[in-house]
Amino acid sequence: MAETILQIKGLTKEYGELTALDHLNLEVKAGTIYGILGPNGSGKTTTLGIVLGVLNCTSGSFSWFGNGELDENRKRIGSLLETPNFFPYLSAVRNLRIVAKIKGIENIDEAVETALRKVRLWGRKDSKFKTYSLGMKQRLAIASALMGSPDVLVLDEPTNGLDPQGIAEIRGLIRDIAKDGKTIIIASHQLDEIEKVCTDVIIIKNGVTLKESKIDEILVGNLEVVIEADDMVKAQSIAAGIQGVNNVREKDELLYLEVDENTTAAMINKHFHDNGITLSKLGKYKKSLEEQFLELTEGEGEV
Amino acid sequence: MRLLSIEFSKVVHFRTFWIILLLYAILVPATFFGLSSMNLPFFPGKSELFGFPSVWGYLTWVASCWNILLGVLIVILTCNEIAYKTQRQSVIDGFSRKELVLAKFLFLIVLAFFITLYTFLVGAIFGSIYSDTSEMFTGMESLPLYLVQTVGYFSVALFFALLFKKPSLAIMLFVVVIMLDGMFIPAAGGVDVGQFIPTITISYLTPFPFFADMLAMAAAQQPDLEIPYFMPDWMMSALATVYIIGFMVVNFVLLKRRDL
Repeated sequence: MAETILQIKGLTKEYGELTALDHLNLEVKAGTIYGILGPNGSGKTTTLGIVLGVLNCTSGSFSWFGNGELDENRKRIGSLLETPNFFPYLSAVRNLRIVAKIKGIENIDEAVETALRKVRLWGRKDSKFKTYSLGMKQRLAIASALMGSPDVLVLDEPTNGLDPQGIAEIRGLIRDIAKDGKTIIIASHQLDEIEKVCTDVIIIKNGVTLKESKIDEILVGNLEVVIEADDMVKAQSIAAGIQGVNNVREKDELLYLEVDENTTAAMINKHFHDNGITLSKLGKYKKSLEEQFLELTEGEGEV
Repeated sequence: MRLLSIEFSKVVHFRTFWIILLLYAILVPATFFGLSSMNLPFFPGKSELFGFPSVWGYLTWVASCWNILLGVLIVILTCNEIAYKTQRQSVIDGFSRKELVLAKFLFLIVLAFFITLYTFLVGAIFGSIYSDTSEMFTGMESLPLYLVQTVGYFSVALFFALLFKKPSLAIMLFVVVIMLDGMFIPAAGGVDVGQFIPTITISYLTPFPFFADMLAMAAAQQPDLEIPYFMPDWMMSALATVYIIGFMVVNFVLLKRRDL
């Protein structure tokens, strides 16, 4: 069993009448890329704000590295929470030197250079922060999170405000870091971001957990067989009677059959053939995370 | 030392910091020199005013009037950090709320120390020009009192900055409070009680020496004159120190309970 990096128990945050976070539980194991997925205002940033020490929670608890809520823990965490926060009148190097001192990093010059080179800002190291473009500011924030090679990275909407090239770069960077065996926690409302890089995911909405699982389990659990036939009405009634088919839905002139693990496309084809229907199309279909996300978050109260 | 080095790396390249310090450095000796043109009966002449030992009392009084400028500087530095969200980032990066306040407090003390050192140099130069140095060290207790006062004003400024977060509001209210202390409460005759109000205790650490001289003179002429009670210096600085610690505790509690 891998070491637990972050454990959250019953975390609740109330702003007056509003409950931003309602008894959230989650556990992040070492070496995983953990995605926190939810629409805007679902409590992602609130959760990260609490575990990063800037927000006080109403009730519940969290623990980093099994050490509880110690301030010292955060020196081992590289974080990017919401916007990049730096002194506008200081250069990239001087801003990062302050971060290094706060984190208690020993070899400051080396740490600053490594981080800036990784996000390709070394060429602009002496420019003031206020002269940076939005993408450069975001990259500097990521450099800051990488300072001193932390055990865990916490990234809140890491590709926010970046152009497609920047987004691809950041994702590549995240994968590289993950290869080194680091644990990464990413909050995002962008589904493909989570789907492309995460190993585990929790879906939250209005502060309530809707689902938590391994990302491939979410996808495996929703395997469907998609078919098309000339007589769709008849096909639909037959489909409902096949053993191993749990659900049938129609979308865009196609039938989607949710099937057991043991039921193969060949078996389905044979069944239709035996009942006198020739399928003009037969294939496997994996529900995307986006579809599941929309199904889960749909209709559960207003956003 | 780590905390101090962090605080200083924030201001070293901040131009406003140096401009305000430069302004202070010019204004203090300039206005002190201008004091000699004050046209009051019995007011000391140049050689007494600028010579040892009375130079210390008058100089620290003048310097303390410009402390308001440095208080504003502290408000600006602190409010900037709230606006840039670097205060929040420091906590994310591993600062505790206690370190947040402690770093600022240490910075205030060191800054106040340098300000006092500068005031000492100005006094030493004036004194050596206008008198011989035999009485140089007499009356020099004004300087440690001035140090306590400067730390005191800075603590109040830090408190206002953290409380109001917005520099415009914090600066305005800070100036208003200091002005009120300087003018209205003494004028309203509330000195007996007024001197125990934190900001007034702090401001009375460097009184206008001429005022005390006048009182003493008046008392000599009319023995039955009622002179308001003033705390002795040691008590005033002890009380001011207690208030300073009090402000820091309040600052800590303020930050501790706040969502950054």
